[in-house]
Amino acid sequence: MFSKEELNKFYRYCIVLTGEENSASDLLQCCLEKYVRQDTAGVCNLKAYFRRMIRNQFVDDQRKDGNQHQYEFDEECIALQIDTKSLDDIIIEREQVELILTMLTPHEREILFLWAVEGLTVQDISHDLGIPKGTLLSRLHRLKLKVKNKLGAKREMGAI
Amino acid sequence: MTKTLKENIKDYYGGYNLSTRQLRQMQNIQTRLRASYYRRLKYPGAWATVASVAVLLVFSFVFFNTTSRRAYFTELITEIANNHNKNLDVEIKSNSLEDVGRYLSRLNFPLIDSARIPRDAWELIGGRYCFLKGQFAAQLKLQNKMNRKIYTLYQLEKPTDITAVSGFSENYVNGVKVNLWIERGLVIALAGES
Repeated sequence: MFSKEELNKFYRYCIVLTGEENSASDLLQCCLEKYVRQDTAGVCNLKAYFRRMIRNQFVDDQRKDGNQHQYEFDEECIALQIDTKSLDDIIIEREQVELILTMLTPHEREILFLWAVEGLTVQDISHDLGIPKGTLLSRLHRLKLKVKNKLGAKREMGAI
Repeated sequence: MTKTLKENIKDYYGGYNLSTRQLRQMQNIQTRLRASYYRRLKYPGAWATVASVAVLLVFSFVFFNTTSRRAYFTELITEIANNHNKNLDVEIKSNSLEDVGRYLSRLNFPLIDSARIPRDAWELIGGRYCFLKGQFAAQLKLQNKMNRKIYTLYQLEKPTDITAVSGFSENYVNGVKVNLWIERGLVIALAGES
C-alpha cells in the first residue's frame, strides 16, 4: 500500500500529465483501482511500475478522447552533447513557472517533473519512460530552447 | 523571487496535495480492493484448477471409454465369427420371432425386429441361446431370400459401461463377415460368409 506522501507524489505526477487537478485525481483513482487488483509480487520498483501505469492510462485516455497528438513525440535519436545540467542554468521568477508549464506538452512537463521533483537522472528518466537516452537528450535540448524562448519572448514583451 | 528552474518546479508541484477527503478515498480503495485481492489469492487459480481437472476427467473418460469399447467390440466380433463357424443347430425351429422370443425366456430383453433385417428379404429359421462376452444372447438362424445363404443373427444387451456409438460397422474375422450395430439398446450382429 502507498503512504499518504507517496499518494501525493503520484497525484502531482498526474497533474503534470493532465495539467488539471480534477482530471489528475480521477486518473490517480482509476490507476489505483487497477493497481491493487494486480499481482505485483514480482515487481522490483513499485513506484516506477505505478508511474508507468499512470502514464499508460493517461495515453489511453488521450487516445480515446482523440487527443493523442498532444502526447505523441518523434522517436528521432540525436545524441546531443547536453544533459540536465544545462537546464540548471535557467534562472526564473517563481511566477513564471506556471506560465511556462502551461506552454509545454504533457511529455515535456513529465520530463521536467521527473528531473526536478523526482530527482531522476537522464539515465533514470530514459529507463523510466522507455526511450533511448539520445532521444531524451535531444528532447531536453529542445525543452531548454523552448523554455528560454518563452522566457525571452515574455521579457521582450515586458510581461515579466 | 528568483530561483533555478529546478527549484521553482519543485516548489510549484509541491504545492499540490490531495485533500483529506481524496486521501481517505484513495486509502479506502487500497484497503478494500487489496482485501478482496488477498481473498482471491487464498485459493490461487481455483477456477483454473477446477477447469483443468474437469477437462482431464472428460478426456480420461473419453479415452478409457473409447479403449474399453474398442476392446469389447473386437472381442465380441471374434466370438461371433467363431460361433458362426460352429454352425450349431437351432433349439427351436420357427419362422416367428415371437415364438423364438418366448422360447428364449431366460434372456433379460425381448427380441427385436431389426430395421436392418426386413422381413420380406429374410426368413427366420429358428433360434437358440448362446453365450457372448459372459452373458446370455440370442442366436437366430436366418436365410437370405435373395441368395438363399444362411446367416446368423445375434442379439444381446448392450453393457451399461459401454457408451456405444449408434454407427454401423462391417468386420471380417476368420473368413466371416460380421456386420454390427446398436439398435434399441441391443447389440445386433449379422454373421455370414464374407
